[in-house]
Amino acid sequence: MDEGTHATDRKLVRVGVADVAVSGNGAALATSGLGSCVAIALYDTSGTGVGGLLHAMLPAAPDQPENAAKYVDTGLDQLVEQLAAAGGNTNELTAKFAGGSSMLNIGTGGGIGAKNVSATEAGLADRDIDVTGSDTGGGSGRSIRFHPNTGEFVVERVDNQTLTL
Amino acid sequence: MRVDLHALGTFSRTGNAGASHAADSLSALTGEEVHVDATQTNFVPASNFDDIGTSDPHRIAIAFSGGLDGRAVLVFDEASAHHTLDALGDVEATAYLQELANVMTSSYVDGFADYLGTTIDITPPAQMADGEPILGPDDSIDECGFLFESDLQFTGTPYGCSFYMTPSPDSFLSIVRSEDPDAEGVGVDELATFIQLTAAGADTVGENITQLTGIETDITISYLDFVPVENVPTVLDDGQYIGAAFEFTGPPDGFLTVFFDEAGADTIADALLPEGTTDESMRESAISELGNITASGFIDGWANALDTTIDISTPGYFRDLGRAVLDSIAAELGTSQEFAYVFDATIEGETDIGCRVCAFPEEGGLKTALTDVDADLDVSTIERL
Repeated sequence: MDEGTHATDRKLVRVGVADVAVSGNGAALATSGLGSCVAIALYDTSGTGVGGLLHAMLPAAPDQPENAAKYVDTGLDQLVEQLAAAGGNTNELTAKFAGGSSMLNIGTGGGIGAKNVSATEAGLADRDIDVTGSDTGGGSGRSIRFHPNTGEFVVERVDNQTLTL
Repeated sequence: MRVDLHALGTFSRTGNAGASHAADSLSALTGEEVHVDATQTNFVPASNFDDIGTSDPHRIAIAFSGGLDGRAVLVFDEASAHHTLDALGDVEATAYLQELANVMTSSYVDGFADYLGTTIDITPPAQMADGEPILGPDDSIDECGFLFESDLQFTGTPYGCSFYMTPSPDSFLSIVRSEDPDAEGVGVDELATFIQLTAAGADTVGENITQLTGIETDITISYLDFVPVENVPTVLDDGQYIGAAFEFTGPPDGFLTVFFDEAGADTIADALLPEGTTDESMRESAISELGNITASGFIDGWANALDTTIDISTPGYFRDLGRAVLDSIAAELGTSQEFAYVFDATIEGETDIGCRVCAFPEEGGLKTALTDVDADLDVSTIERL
């Protein structure tokens, strides 16, 4: 299983596809090239400054997945575990997320983007985690920069369109 | 000869881990954050090996032997070499880059040694001569050979380095050879034939671009990337592209994408449309139509070689982050397979035009196709648009 990335004294940590990272020292977390995948940020609102970012590709994992972060359900579990390990209060988590677009305009696919969004909403509700911002669907790609110490979640699209959640 | 796909997959993931260890080493030595931007297992035609990694000035080679034989090459462009040496302080450039290569190669091959349950020894690093190919001097490749490539980047900067590992063909194939006829495997010769078909398709695409636009195309590089599906987006850099996506239905089923950089797309639209056309929808149509012809040039070659029909969807135009398009394809593929086969071709022109074509056949259909294709096929006899 991928153990994910732990930010130490870094200013910016990249999160790849099917990857998860946590930060507790002010380092921002970033992921780019988000299409039908979802980027889910969780952060502790009790003042520890601990937060994390998951870039998940598919809604639900098979039994014993090789990489938990590839899936929304097991990726959320992994992210919460890593937040706890980093000193975050997992009873005080808040979520923001983005992605789940439908980019392949060729009449194909089973709507994976929409399924990822549904899985994210269900997974967060199951864990009693409040969602305070989201930017999902549509037909364009996104890049994300998340600041765990403030909860600022910045979504960039092509042509420098920026949305801050 | 057949390759055991499970062994190849494990090698690919070991390469991922090795690249991550090499990035950690570079980070520790320079004190800067380094991440793995891309890592791939490539199956490359022999003729393309001479074109890979030869253009940059700082290239250090380290041979390795033992459980696996071959050569690792670390490549810096000039600006990245300066950035790295600045991070290291006042040191003698060549010697320090060689030391970096030494540490990074050790980090990288240790993972393979662990996987193989043996040891791998490395030689002292050596600066490579201008134009010297990345393939070791004692290695030769008949048709296609394996190449592990990782691109490392100093996070938040445009600087980085590429790390290539070319295992000696005999040494590598002795590890990934499939002895069990019932094991999940693919034929190396048949894979090579498919890559030759891809290369011929790329040539056809180049000819079509020239015919339609009058722009001469002069470089084509074609190979197969074998990557975990989650690594599919890293086949491309993180820039914005204009192009078209297609779904094809055979077997094999799959997806195909045609990417132009923005300048290239402008050049093509200008060449295809009456002078002064600014109507964005017409420019989109022009790019989509060229994408259509490009997709047909690729897929028809496969269909004809397999003596079958492969239908292609209408083009889905995009102007977006290339990796976001590939992210969506990765998710589609990921619903049914762990690894992706990416037939990847680059076509460049004498003017500012760069075209990248990537075909993503689904695994089951590709395996069937590899069973059906004639390993001794003369691809020049295959008719295509």
